[in-house]
Amino acid sequence: MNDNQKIEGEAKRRRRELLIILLVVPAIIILTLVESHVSTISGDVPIATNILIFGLINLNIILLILLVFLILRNMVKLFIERKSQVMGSRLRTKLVTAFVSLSIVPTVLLFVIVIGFINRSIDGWFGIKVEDSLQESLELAQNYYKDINDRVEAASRIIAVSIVAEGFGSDNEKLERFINRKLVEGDFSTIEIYSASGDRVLYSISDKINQNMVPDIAPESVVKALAGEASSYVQTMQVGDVVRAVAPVQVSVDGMPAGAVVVNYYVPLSLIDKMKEISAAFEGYKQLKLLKNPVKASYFTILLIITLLIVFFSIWIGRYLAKELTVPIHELAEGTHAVASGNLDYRINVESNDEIGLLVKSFNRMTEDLKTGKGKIETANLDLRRTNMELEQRRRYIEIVLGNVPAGVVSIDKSGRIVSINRVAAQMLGTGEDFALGKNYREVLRQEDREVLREMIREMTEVGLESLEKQMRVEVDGKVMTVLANLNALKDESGNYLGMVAVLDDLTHLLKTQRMSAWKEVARRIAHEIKNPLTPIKLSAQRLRKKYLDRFPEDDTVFDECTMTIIKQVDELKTLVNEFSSFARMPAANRSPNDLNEVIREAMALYKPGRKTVQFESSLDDLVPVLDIDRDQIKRVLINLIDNALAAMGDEGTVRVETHFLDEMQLARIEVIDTGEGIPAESKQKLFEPYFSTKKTGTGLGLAIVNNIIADHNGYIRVRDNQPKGTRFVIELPVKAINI
Amino acid sequence: MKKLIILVFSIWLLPLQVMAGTATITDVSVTRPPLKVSFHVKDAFSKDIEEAVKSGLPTSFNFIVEINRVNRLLPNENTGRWEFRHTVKYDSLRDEYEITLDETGERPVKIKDFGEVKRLMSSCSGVTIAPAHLKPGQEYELRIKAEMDPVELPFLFNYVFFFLELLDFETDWHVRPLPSQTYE
Repeated sequence: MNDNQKIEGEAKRRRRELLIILLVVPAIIILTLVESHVSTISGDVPIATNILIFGLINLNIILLILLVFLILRNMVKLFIERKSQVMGSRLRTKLVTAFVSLSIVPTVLLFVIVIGFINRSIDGWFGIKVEDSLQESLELAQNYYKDINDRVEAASRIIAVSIVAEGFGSDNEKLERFINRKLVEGDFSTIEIYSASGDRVLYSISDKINQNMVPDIAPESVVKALAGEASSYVQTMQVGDVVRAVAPVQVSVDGMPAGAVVVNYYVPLSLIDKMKEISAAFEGYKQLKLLKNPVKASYFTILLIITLLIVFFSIWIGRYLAKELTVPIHELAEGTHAVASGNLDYRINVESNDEIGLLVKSFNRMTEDLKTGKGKIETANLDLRRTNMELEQRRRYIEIVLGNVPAGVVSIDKSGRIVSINRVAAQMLGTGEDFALGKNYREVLRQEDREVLREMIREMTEVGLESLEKQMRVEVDGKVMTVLANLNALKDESGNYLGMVAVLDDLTHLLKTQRMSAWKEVARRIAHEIKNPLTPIKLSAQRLRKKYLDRFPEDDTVFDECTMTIIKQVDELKTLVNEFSSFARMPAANRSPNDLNEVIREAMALYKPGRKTVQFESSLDDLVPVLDIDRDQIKRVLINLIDNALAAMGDEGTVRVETHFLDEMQLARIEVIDTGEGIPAESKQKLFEPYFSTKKTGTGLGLAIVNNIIADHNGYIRVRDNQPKGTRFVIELPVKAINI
Repeated sequence: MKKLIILVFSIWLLPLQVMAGTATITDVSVTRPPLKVSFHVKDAFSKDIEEAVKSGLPTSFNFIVEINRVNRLLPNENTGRWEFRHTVKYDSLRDEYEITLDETGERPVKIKDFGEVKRLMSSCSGVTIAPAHLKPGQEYELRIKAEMDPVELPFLFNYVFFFLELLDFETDWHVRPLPSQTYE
């Protein structure tokens, strides 16, 4: 379950709880009212039939329990939230505590006072004095009855005894007078005399009552008396009570009664009602006393329920208010966190019109603004990235251009930091591109280069030049190069100085070509100017020898030596001139498909017969394809190199020629190796320049011609030391597809 | 939610359980002919009931006797039901108890001894029941129950529901097979 689902579930539960509480509270109130009403109108209806009340009360209790359950559940939840340090739980706890404290103190105080008051009141109702008074009143009424009963019983027994003692016999008049006198004396209502057969023989009635008030006695009571058993009882009638006493007239101890005497005393209804009222009051009091504790308990319960209701409602209201505050705060905190995490779509759904609602609306507006701003920034960022990409592409393009131009280009900013440097420039300045970038030129350049640059800058500054050109010599991989440094000041549209850009042009080849051309011109002139007089000089020397040699004595060899020297030197000069002429008239290469190995064999064949002491070896790679070369010129290259090798070795040594095909580079490599003295390092640089020779008799043109020929074939020649001794000339010629 | 419902119903039923009390039917005997039942309700009078009677509240014990035909598979079938009650009312003015026993059909008896009152109220002796259709070969059961009619209390006190247990009792059904010799 994700966070949203949890929040939705919680909100649903809260709504359900609120709904339950909203239903329960009015239900309790209404049901309580209904119960009170029903109880009042039920009146004398027995409880056994009053199931409705029973059900309602229980329902009320259930609802109350439900309410308590919900409140307690909320309390437990609050406790757990506080323990788990859920956001807002502290404020919620504080508010709930404040509400409970504010409500519980007066409520409990009121509860205690009311309970005390009820206790005292109820105890007062059932005070000892009241009970005693009622008890005494009842005893008074009971004594009245008892007294009448005693009097009636006593009178019946006395009359019965008197009848026997007086011996009235059949003198009914005497007996009647006696009875009447007793009636008056005892204030009885009636006195009756029954014979042994059960017949009433005498009946005397007080003039205060009429006969209807005192009905005849039940015959069974008379029968019982005639059986010898005296009795008394109270007969209740509509008009009042009659207290009756029946006593047997016992003539002898053992014999059967001769009759029975009945004495009745009428108790008037008004008196009975009063005594019944006393009795009813006492009974009512006793019944109430019986209910004393339950009544107290019921009041206590009702008050307790009300108190709990107030407390629970306080808790609930406190929690509700706290929720009203903390939920938006919690939402705001979560929203802030979400916004901080980059979720600008987060919106708070709290509907409220108070200040919290205003805060929530402000937050939502802020988030919306942020989202809009972010969108704009993203668009701008996208544009910027596109621009950057274009700039990067342009920069790369410029880098590629700079990397591929034969000139070296270096730019520095106004602080002297190298901003860009291409490969050629890095090579010329003897550094690496990556190393130099971002560093000050003073740290990167060599001492001599730094001096030159500083001098140029100083000159530009002093004179106020925008640009300055200067030729300088730099050493790259041990080779000295002539470089034309063109230094330009960089300025923006406003003329602000931004730095400098230096363009380094390699003039070595150009100068070499220029020198070569100059030397060719010199050679041509020398050949032209010197060759012409050489033949007459040689012929003249030969005529002198022919004509005058015999004229000198044999021991005088001066003439002979001098003329021979002239002739010899002229020959050498002629050779020299021919070399010059060849160099000057070097024809353009006439290329055709040729087998390189065959050309090499032919060249080597020229030397093998004549130089027996020198060992000629060859290792020719058959994989070398047919090359587009000038056969004669290549042969001349080999001859020149072998000549040089032989000259370097003297009489003994080994000359070895190898060919190799470098398939991956599409090159044919020729190596001419000798075991001679080798070439000093300082000479290697100038080896291929005209008129540089390590030989005393050399013209210095042999290797220059070789270099020319190889260059015309787009090849490359270099010299290396051979191990353990000697020299190794390495020629590389490009292999091109040839259509034969 | 389920726990809550169980809790609520437990609370609902609690008063009923308490009200059931400890009164029990004892000393049941059946004689013939005609079919007569005798029994005694033990511990019918609690202290509170005694107090209630002595305070003058009219108090009635209601007795129910049933005879059911025992069926093996189907629910038992009621073949006869008899109800009668014993009522006592104390007359504080004359300090005597007036007892009415329905089953005797006689006039109310007035007694001063409370022990005798309790005995009469709690005992039913030789109550004639005349069930029809008791067929030989069938099994029958006798069911007896006694309960006190809830005492009518003055004014609003009767809504204090938990108070009812003080002035009420109800025995469980006493069930025993009806001996076949009593009706065959």
